[in-house]
Amino acid sequence: MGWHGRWGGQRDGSHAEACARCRTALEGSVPPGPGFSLGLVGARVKFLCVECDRQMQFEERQLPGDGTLAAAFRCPTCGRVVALLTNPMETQLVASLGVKIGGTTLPPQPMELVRGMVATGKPDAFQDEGERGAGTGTIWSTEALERLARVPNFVRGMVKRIYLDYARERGIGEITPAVMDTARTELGLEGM
Amino acid sequence: MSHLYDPMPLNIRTYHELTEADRSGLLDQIVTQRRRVADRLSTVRRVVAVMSGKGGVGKSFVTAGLAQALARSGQAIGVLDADFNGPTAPQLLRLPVARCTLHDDGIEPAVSAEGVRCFSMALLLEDGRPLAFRGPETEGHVWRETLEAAALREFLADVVWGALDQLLIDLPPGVQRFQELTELLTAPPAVLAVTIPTPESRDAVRRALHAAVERKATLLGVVENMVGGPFVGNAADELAAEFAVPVLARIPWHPTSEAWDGLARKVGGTA
Repeated sequence: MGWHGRWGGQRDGSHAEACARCRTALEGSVPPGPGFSLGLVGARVKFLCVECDRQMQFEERQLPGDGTLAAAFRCPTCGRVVALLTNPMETQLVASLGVKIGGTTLPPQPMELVRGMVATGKPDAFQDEGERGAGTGTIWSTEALERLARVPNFVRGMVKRIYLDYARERGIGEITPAVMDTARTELGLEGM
Repeated sequence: MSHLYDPMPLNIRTYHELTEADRSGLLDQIVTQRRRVADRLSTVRRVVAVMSGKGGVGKSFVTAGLAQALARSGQAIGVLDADFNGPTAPQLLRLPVARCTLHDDGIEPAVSAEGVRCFSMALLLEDGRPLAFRGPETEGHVWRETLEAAALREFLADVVWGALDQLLIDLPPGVQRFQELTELLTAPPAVLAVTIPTPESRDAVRRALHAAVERKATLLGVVENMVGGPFVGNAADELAAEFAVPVLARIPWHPTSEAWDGLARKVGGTA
């Protein structure tokens, strides 16, 4: 199912119409919180449905895996949906702030950004102690293990933890490639 | 011809007029990141930025010598190597080669023979490889600084520093990393400036010290390094007079442990 189908049956024609009726505002920032200077990092995109004069609300985020990011926003009055499609450079800029469009669903992993973004890390730099999920009865299918083995060593331990936590929290007994795909989509794990 | 920034009538509401909640919680995410830094450093009595506007004056060398001397004097000391593109702290502190141990709560720093707790990008990078980030190959300069600032945040927040008397931050040349550091901390760090005797070094360090003053950092003083070598000048005295700070030490070309211990007494005594 494509983007428009997933987001309420907005096919290309009506989507184009929605885009023509909605405008984006790309600049600005929220005031700093107490004790912290937040400046640019507080900036966010807002969408206005011009016809309804309503601020559109975040609906869904997807990472297609090609370095781009898609975020859907819906007008709470008329239901129209627009998709913000960022190019790889814009996506990278968001990722480099260590924040997630659509919010976080996982507690932060130690050194998450360094482990996920450094391309020249030592394969054996990290040693997991007391890996979470061990002893919970969750098993990995052969195919899932093969897929996990393709994740660079530098970040593999963190990825494994995330999938184990995901499975444990949902009572999933076996991690399969399908479970990994679902987790990727739900958690927004690009490249994992 | 109208200017780009000339106001023009708009018949829709503007950015600041849209005030509904951000469902992505971006601000909350950033606040959580900053709070994590503050929580982690709540057991650190003082953060000291070792800085210089100039490369090659021996910041890392001074940081390591000072850290070892402070540890010998009985203080609990940490070193955060914030020079991600030229990390040298592990070699200078002669850290044991070991993998970084991960807990749920964070990553254990490496510990030197003197007890200095250290974390450095050198512990993570493949030997001989430069720091490189994943992402589009072109225009990387656009986000590289942001990524390095995020790495600094994780080094502060995700390393299990424990209870420290002083955490020394070994900064790279320039003032950019210092500014990132001050934005991550809830209070400006103390600053230790390192120079060599030359006028060129003086001028570069002066810029760095002005940046520190503008950020309301406390200046501990100036350390003149490589004294008695080929470099000529009075950089430390001139900077000390200009900024009304002491010259904490003149480290000779071949320093003895007494030179480091003397510096440690002055820096340690003010912690």
